[in-house]
Amino acid sequence: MSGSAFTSEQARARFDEVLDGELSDSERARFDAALAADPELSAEFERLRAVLVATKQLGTEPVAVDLLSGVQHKLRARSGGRFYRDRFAERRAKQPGLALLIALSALFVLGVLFWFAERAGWLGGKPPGLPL
Amino acid sequence: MLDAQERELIEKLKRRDEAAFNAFVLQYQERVFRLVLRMIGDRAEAEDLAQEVFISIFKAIEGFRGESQLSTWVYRVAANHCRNRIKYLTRRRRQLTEGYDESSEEHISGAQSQGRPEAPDQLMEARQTERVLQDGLLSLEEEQRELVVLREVEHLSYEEIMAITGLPEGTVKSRLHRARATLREFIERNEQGRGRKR
Repeated sequence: MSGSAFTSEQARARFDEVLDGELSDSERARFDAALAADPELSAEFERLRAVLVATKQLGTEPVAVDLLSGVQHKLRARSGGRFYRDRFAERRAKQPGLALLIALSALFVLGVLFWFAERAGWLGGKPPGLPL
Repeated sequence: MLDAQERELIEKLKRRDEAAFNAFVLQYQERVFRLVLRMIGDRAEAEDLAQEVFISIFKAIEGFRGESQLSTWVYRVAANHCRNRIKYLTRRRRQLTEGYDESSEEHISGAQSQGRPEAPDQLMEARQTERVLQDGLLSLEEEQRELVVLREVEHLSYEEIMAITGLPEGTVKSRLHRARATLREFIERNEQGRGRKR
């Protein structure tokens, strides 16, 4: 048995429970009966529900925000460089490939320079092909 | 209870592992920013404050004892920052126009920008709705606004809200009841006002 309809005031006092899905089936039936008997109450409830549905929408849309670089910058500044000192480690930390590529490129350039300098005798050895 | 993945993340955060902290910021930035934005109503202020939330977490993570979900603790830190910032802003703005002015409308619009492409009229309507709702949120008392944001915008359970705010269930529900009614009245007044202008 679902019992008799709530009075309008009883139903109004249960708006939150209905919106939170906390009424039992029988209470919900009494609530619905109260709305059916009082169009003004029904309209009031529907307006409240519409406002809350729209408010909930605010939490489902993605927001465009990127806080990471600002957080890293502030942490580095406030820690006197103790944290986020290495700028290669900044940002996503999801691009180890890029850091590795830069490091390998730097090593390659240094290697080529070293080889060239050695061949040219700039490192203190005898320059090839020069008479003593 | 914390799951294994969360425990591992917390351990890394406690060791000040920067890569783990980067991942943590990326994981939580949207939730923190949305909470702060809806509480403060100003995008630039909200970005600054959300960054401060993460800095506080970086500093205070050692104090996290795992008695709640990490997300609950993050929300608690964010809510505390919001309360403090609102007090500060209220003091600072006391001499200025009350409420939410045209410039803050500029700040807030565009907060939701990564959604689906929409027709211009739909976009306009969505922006208008968002603006009215944000005005409505800002018209609430800070304590009520916090509960509406946590419950309606962030979709948190009453248990989580009680853990974040430290309030008993009865207080949360009664404040939320008043807040919902006030928000509805605000929106209705706004609609009536717009109806008269047409």
